[in-house]
Amino acid sequence: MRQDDAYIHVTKVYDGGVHMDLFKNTMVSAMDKSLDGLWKRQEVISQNIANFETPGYKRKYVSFEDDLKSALESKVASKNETISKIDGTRVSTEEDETATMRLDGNGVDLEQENIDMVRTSYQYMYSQRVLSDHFSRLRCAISEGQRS
Amino acid sequence: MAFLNSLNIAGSGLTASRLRMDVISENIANYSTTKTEDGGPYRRKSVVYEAVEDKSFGSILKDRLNGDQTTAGVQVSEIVEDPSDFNYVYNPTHPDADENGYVAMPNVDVTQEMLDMMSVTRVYDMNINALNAMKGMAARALEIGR
Repeated sequence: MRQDDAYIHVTKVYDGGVHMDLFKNTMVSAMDKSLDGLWKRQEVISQNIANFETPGYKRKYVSFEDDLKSALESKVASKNETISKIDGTRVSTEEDETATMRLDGNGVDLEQENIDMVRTSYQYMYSQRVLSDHFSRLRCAISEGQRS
Repeated sequence: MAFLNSLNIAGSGLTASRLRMDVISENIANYSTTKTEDGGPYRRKSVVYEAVEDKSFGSILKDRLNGDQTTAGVQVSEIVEDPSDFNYVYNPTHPDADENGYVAMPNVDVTQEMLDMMSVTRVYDMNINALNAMKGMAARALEIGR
């Protein structure tokens, strides 16, 4: 997507014989994926809440953390391979068939969704902070510490 | 689905709740209506919700590629009339009374309507919460690299 020549030219610096990508390392990729996954989760939570009164609607949930964790822990030769593994992590939406708490077959628990919503918001905030701090450090290095 | 289109999910929930609220108001307003266009007393109405899937090409393609499900909110599929029996009240002086003096009154139960109204209000609030949460996340995403 962003792998056009200009981007590669600008972001790859020559570091002791190894091409290093400033904006694309394991941490940035993992946080990128985490933000994507959390956004999708929030979307699905909205969907569940909107369908609180739809008969027969089953609650949906998003999972990506386990996949992301195994991508991060995978033992591969190079950093680039880890990054491509992280980028290939699937954010999957599944339906919870078992959850039924009401007579109309609807499986949405409003309180649970509310808690999940708050948790997702905060997780998003944490990931965002980690990314921001990373870019702050980069900026600090670029400006030789004069301005953070 | 595009970034800010996600707000439409909570938006659809708000629209659906508002329509349900309108229908509840109509039921309460017509608590003692004995004449309607179809003849006969008013029948209690209720809404039927259904989950909507995003049917756009981009969304379906994305789903096939990633194997996950679309999310597009909720909509009211139809407004149905309650087929249950009317309440018969003895009132021989009423112009719509039958030969025995009984008047067919609408099958609206005000307690039921009030309960429904409370639950709709709660769902409406929750949809607003969801909207605000997504809005906050979108605002925070803008802070990256600031």
